[in-house]
Amino acid sequence: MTFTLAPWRDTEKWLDPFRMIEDLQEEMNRLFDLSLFGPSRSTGLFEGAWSPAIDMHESGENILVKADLPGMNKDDIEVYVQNNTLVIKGKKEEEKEFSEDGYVRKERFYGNFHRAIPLPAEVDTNNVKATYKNGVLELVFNKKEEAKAKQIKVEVK
Amino acid sequence: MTLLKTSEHTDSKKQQKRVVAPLVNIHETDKEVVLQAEMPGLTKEDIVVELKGEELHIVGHRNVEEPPKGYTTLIKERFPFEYRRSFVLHDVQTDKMSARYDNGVLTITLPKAERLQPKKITIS
Repeated sequence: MTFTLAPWRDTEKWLDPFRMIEDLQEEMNRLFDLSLFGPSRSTGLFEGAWSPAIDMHESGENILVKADLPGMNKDDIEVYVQNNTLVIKGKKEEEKEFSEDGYVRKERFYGNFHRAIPLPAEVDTNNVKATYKNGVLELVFNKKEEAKAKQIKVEVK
Repeated sequence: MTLLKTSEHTDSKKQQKRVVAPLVNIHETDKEVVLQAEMPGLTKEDIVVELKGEELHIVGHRNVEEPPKGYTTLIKERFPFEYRRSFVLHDVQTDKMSARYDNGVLTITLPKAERLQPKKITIS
Protein backbone atom coordinates (compact mmCIF):
# COMPACT_ATOMS: atom_id res chain seq x y z
CA MET A 1 0.00 0.00 0.00
CA THR A 2 1.37 3.39 -0.91
CA PHE A 3 0.47 6.45 1.09
CA THR A 4 -0.42 8.84 -1.63
CA LEU A 5 -2.10 11.22 0.77
CA ALA A 6 -0.33 12.44 3.88
CA PRO A 7 -1.18 15.35 6.20
CA TRP A 8 0.42 18.48 4.92
CA ARG A 9 3.64 19.53 6.59
CA ASP A 10 6.15 22.23 5.84
CA THR A 11 9.39 20.30 5.47
CA GLU A 12 11.66 23.25 6.27
CA LYS A 13 10.35 23.27 9.83
CA TRP A 14 11.76 19.87 10.58
CA LEU A 15 15.26 20.85 11.60
CA ASP A 16 14.26 23.66 13.93
CA PRO A 17 13.50 22.36 17.44
CA PHE A 18 11.45 25.41 18.37
CA ARG A 19 9.28 25.03 15.30
CA MET A 20 8.86 21.38 16.15
CA ILE A 21 7.51 22.31 19.57
CA GLU A 22 5.22 24.78 17.88
CA ASP A 23 4.06 22.03 15.54
CA LEU A 24 3.36 19.78 18.48
CA GLN A 25 1.34 22.50 20.14
CA GLU A 26 -0.65 23.03 16.96
CA GLU A 27 -1.33 19.34 16.73
CA MET A 28 -2.46 19.26 20.36
CA ASN A 29 -4.80 22.17 19.68
CA ARG A 30 -6.17 20.36 16.68
CA LEU A 31 -6.87 17.25 18.73
CA PHE A 32 -8.43 19.37 21.42
CA ASP A 33 -10.68 21.01 18.86
CA LEU A 34 -11.70 17.63 17.52
CA SER A 35 -12.69 16.39 20.93
CA LEU A 36 -14.42 19.59 22.02
CA PHE A 37 -16.29 20.49 18.91
CA GLY A 38 -16.38 17.39 16.81
CA PRO A 39 -18.94 14.69 17.38
CA SER A 40 -18.63 13.73 21.00
CA ARG A 41 -17.35 10.32 21.89
CA SER A 42 -19.21 8.88 24.81
CA THR A 43 -18.43 5.68 26.62
CA GLY A 44 -21.80 5.19 28.29
CA LEU A 45 -22.97 1.61 28.23
CA PHE A 46 -26.34 2.40 26.68
CA GLU A 47 -25.18 5.21 24.52
CA GLY A 48 -23.83 4.78 21.05
CA ALA A 49 -20.20 5.18 20.08
CA TRP A 50 -20.89 8.74 19.03
CA SER A 51 -23.60 11.25 19.65
CA PRO A 52 -24.73 14.18 17.53
CA ALA A 53 -24.43 17.83 18.51
CA ILE A 54 -27.84 19.41 19.08
CA ASP A 55 -29.42 22.86 19.21
CA MET A 56 -32.84 23.42 20.75
CA HIS A 57 -34.88 26.60 20.53
CA GLU A 58 -38.28 27.34 21.97
CA SER A 59 -40.97 29.86 21.18
CA GLY A 60 -44.48 30.27 22.56
CA GLU A 61 -45.86 27.91 19.93
CA ASN A 62 -43.00 25.73 18.68
CA ILE A 63 -39.89 23.82 19.60
CA LEU A 64 -37.12 23.76 17.02
CA VAL A 65 -34.39 21.09 17.15
CA LYS A 66 -31.35 20.72 14.91
CA ALA A 67 -28.89 17.83 15.04
CA ASP A 68 -25.62 17.32 13.14
CA LEU A 69 -25.75 13.88 11.56
CA PRO A 70 -23.29 13.82 8.68
CA GLY A 71 -23.26 10.96 6.20
CA MET A 72 -26.49 9.25 7.18
CA ASN A 73 -29.21 7.67 5.08
CA LYS A 74 -32.39 9.40 6.09
CA ASP A 75 -34.12 6.03 6.56
CA ASP A 76 -31.56 5.11 9.22
CA ILE A 77 -32.58 7.99 11.47
CA GLU A 78 -35.32 7.25 14.00
CA VAL A 79 -37.10 10.03 15.83
CA TYR A 80 -39.79 9.61 18.44
CA VAL A 81 -41.26 11.27 21.51
CA GLN A 82 -41.91 9.23 24.61
CA ASN A 83 -42.94 10.62 27.99
CA ASN A 84 -42.23 14.06 26.65
CA THR A 85 -38.66 13.09 25.89
CA LEU A 86 -37.33 13.43 22.37
CA VAL A 87 -35.29 10.45 21.23
CA ILE A 88 -33.06 10.61 18.17
CA LYS A 89 -31.36 7.35 17.38
CA GLY A 90 -30.01 5.39 14.48
CA LYS A 91 -27.09 3.67 12.95
CA LYS A 92 -24.50 5.09 10.65
CA GLU A 93 -23.53 2.44 8.16
CA GLU A 94 -20.12 2.26 6.58
CA GLU A 95 -19.86 2.78 2.86
CA LYS A 96 -20.34 -0.60 1.28
CA GLU A 97 -18.17 0.16 -1.71
CA PHE A 98 -15.08 0.54 0.50
CA SER A 99 -13.19 -2.53 1.64
CA GLU A 100 -11.80 -2.47 5.18
CA ASP A 101 -8.17 -3.03 4.11
CA GLY A 102 -8.27 -0.10 1.71
CA TYR A 103 -8.40 2.52 4.45
CA VAL A 104 -5.30 4.66 4.80
CA ARG A 105 -6.95 6.84 7.41
CA LYS A 106 -10.23 6.39 9.22
CA GLU A 107 -11.42 9.07 11.62
CA ARG A 108 -15.16 9.13 11.01
CA PHE A 109 -17.48 7.49 13.53
CA TYR A 110 -19.81 4.68 12.55
CA GLY A 111 -22.35 2.58 14.35
CA ASN A 112 -25.19 3.31 16.71
CA PHE A 113 -26.02 6.62 18.27
CA HIS A 114 -28.72 7.50 20.73
CA ARG A 115 -29.69 10.80 22.18
CA ALA A 116 -32.60 11.53 24.51
CA ILE A 117 -33.53 15.11 25.36
CA PRO A 118 -36.40 16.17 27.61
CA LEU A 119 -38.75 18.57 25.82
CA PRO A 120 -39.63 21.80 27.63
CA ALA A 121 -43.37 21.40 26.89
CA GLU A 122 -45.88 18.83 25.70
CA VAL A 123 -45.91 18.56 21.94
CA ASP A 124 -48.37 17.39 19.31
CA THR A 125 -46.68 14.19 18.14
CA ASN A 126 -48.98 13.80 15.15
CA ASN A 127 -47.80 17.00 13.63
CA VAL A 128 -43.99 17.11 13.49
CA LYS A 129 -42.02 18.50 10.59
CA ALA A 130 -38.77 16.62 10.03
CA THR A 131 -36.21 17.29 7.31
CA TYR A 132 -32.70 15.99 6.69
CA LYS A 133 -30.51 18.21 4.55
CA ASN A 134 -26.75 18.64 4.19
CA GLY A 135 -26.19 16.30 7.11
CA VAL A 136 -28.42 18.24 9.50
CA LEU A 137 -31.69 16.89 10.91
CA GLU A 138 -34.24 19.60 11.59
CA LEU A 139 -37.37 19.02 13.65
CA VAL A 140 -40.22 21.44 14.26
CA PHE A 141 -42.70 20.53 16.98
CA ASN A 142 -45.98 22.27 17.71
CA LYS A 143 -46.71 22.69 21.36
CA LYS A 144 -49.99 21.28 22.60
CA GLU A 145 -52.70 23.86 23.05
CA GLU A 146 -52.67 23.54 26.84
CA ALA A 147 -48.87 23.80 26.93
CA LYS A 148 -48.68 27.05 25.00
CA ALA A 149 -47.43 29.96 26.98
CA LYS A 150 -50.26 31.56 28.86
CA GLN A 151 -50.01 34.89 30.46
CA ILE A 152 -51.08 34.60 33.99
CA LYS A 153 -51.69 37.73 35.83
CA VAL A 154 -50.51 37.62 39.37
CA GLU A 155 -51.90 40.22 41.56
CA VAL A 156 -49.48 41.50 44.09
CA LYS A 157 -51.15 42.63 47.22
CA MET B 1 -18.45 24.11 -4.88
CA THR B 2 -15.40 25.60 -6.54
CA LEU B 3 -12.41 23.65 -7.72
CA LEU B 4 -9.58 26.14 -7.79
CA LYS B 5 -6.20 25.50 -9.29
CA THR B 6 -4.62 28.78 -8.26
CA SER B 7 -3.93 30.48 -4.98
CA GLU B 8 -6.46 33.22 -5.63
CA HIS B 9 -8.78 32.20 -2.88
CA THR B 10 -9.01 34.59 0.02
CA ASP B 11 -11.64 34.64 2.71
CA SER B 12 -11.34 37.98 4.41
CA LYS B 13 -15.02 38.81 4.14
CA LYS B 14 -16.16 36.31 6.74
CA GLN B 15 -15.97 36.95 10.45
CA GLN B 16 -13.39 35.09 12.49
CA LYS B 17 -14.56 31.57 13.21
CA ARG B 18 -13.04 28.77 15.14
CA VAL B 19 -10.86 26.69 12.84
CA VAL B 20 -11.62 23.01 13.10
CA ALA B 21 -10.15 20.04 11.28
CA PRO B 22 -12.92 17.93 9.76
CA LEU B 23 -12.87 14.19 10.44
CA VAL B 24 -11.43 12.47 7.41
CA ASN B 25 -11.44 9.01 5.88
CA ILE B 26 -9.03 8.16 3.12
CA HIS B 27 -9.64 5.03 1.13
CA GLU B 28 -7.33 3.69 -1.51
CA THR B 29 -7.89 1.16 -4.27
CA ASP B 30 -5.75 0.17 -7.27
CA LYS B 31 -7.38 2.84 -9.37
CA GLU B 32 -8.17 5.76 -7.11
CA VAL B 33 -7.90 7.50 -3.79
CA VAL B 34 -11.15 8.67 -2.18
CA LEU B 35 -11.07 11.27 0.55
CA GLN B 36 -14.15 11.95 2.65
CA ALA B 37 -14.47 14.85 5.06
CA GLU B 38 -17.38 15.28 7.46
CA MET B 39 -18.62 18.85 7.37
CA PRO B 40 -22.31 18.92 8.29
CA GLY B 41 -24.52 21.94 7.76
CA LEU B 42 -22.81 23.50 4.79
CA THR B 43 -23.97 24.09 1.25
CA LYS B 44 -21.88 23.43 -1.86
CA GLU B 45 -21.21 27.16 -2.09
CA ASP B 46 -19.57 27.20 1.35
CA ILE B 47 -16.84 24.76 0.30
CA VAL B 48 -13.58 25.50 -1.48
CA VAL B 49 -11.34 22.68 -2.65
CA GLU B 50 -8.06 24.14 -3.77
CA LEU B 51 -5.02 22.65 -5.37
CA LYS B 52 -1.66 24.39 -4.97
CA GLY B 53 0.97 22.31 -6.66
CA GLU B 54 0.93 19.07 -4.73
CA GLU B 55 -1.05 20.45 -1.81
CA LEU B 56 -4.76 19.88 -1.56
CA HIS B 57 -6.55 22.35 0.69
CA ILE B 58 -10.10 21.93 1.91
CA VAL B 59 -11.90 24.92 3.38
CA GLY B 60 -15.52 24.94 4.47
CA HIS B 61 -17.43 27.81 6.05
CA ARG B 62 -20.09 26.58 8.37
CA ASN B 63 -22.72 29.06 9.45
CA VAL B 64 -25.14 28.21 12.21
CA GLU B 65 -28.34 30.12 11.69
CA GLU B 66 -29.72 32.08 14.56
CA PRO B 67 -33.22 30.96 15.53
CA PRO B 68 -36.09 33.06 14.18
CA LYS B 69 -37.33 35.97 16.25
CA GLY B 70 -39.30 35.05 19.32
CA TYR B 71 -37.29 31.91 20.05
CA THR B 72 -35.16 31.33 23.11
CA THR B 73 -32.23 28.94 22.97
CA LEU B 74 -32.35 26.02 25.38
CA ILE B 75 -29.47 23.88 24.11
CA LYS B 76 -26.54 25.13 22.07
CA GLU B 77 -23.95 22.60 20.92
CA ARG B 78 -23.64 23.48 17.25
CA PHE B 79 -21.25 26.29 16.36
CA PRO B 80 -20.08 28.13 13.29
CA PHE B 81 -16.74 26.74 12.15
CA GLU B 82 -14.14 27.24 9.60
CA TYR B 83 -13.26 23.74 8.51
CA ARG B 84 -9.71 23.53 7.26
CA ARG B 85 -7.45 20.67 6.35
CA SER B 86 -4.61 20.16 3.91
CA PHE B 87 -2.98 17.14 2.34
CA VAL B 88 -0.04 16.41 0.11
CA LEU B 89 -0.81 14.50 -3.03
CA HIS B 90 1.56 12.17 -4.80
CA ASP B 91 1.01 10.18 -7.95
CA VAL B 92 -2.56 11.18 -8.59
CA GLN B 93 -4.09 12.74 -11.68
CA THR B 94 -5.13 16.06 -10.25
CA ASP B 95 -6.70 17.14 -13.55
CA LYS B 96 -9.17 14.29 -13.19
CA MET B 97 -10.05 15.11 -9.61
CA SER B 98 -13.75 15.32 -8.80
CA ALA B 99 -15.64 16.45 -5.72
CA ARG B 100 -19.17 16.22 -4.44
CA TYR B 101 -21.03 17.13 -1.25
CA ASP B 102 -23.80 14.84 -0.05
CA ASN B 103 -25.52 14.69 3.34
CA GLY B 104 -22.81 16.73 5.02
CA VAL B 105 -19.88 14.74 3.66
CA LEU B 106 -17.43 16.09 1.10
CA THR B 107 -16.08 13.34 -1.14
CA ILE B 108 -13.03 13.95 -3.32
CA THR B 109 -12.06 11.28 -5.84
CA LEU B 110 -8.52 11.28 -7.19
CA PRO B 111 -7.64 8.78 -9.92
CA LYS B 112 -4.14 7.35 -9.48
CA ALA B 113 -1.41 8.11 -12.01
CA GLU B 114 -1.55 5.97 -15.14
CA ARG B 115 1.77 4.32 -14.35
CA LEU B 116 0.41 3.05 -11.02
CA GLN B 117 -2.73 1.57 -12.44
CA PRO B 118 -2.65 -2.20 -12.69
CA LYS B 119 -2.26 -3.46 -16.21
CA LYS B 120 -3.21 -6.90 -17.33
CA ILE B 121 -0.67 -8.44 -19.61
CA THR B 122 -1.99 -11.04 -21.95
CA ILE B 123 0.27 -13.98 -22.59
CA SER B 124 0.61 -14.75 -26.21
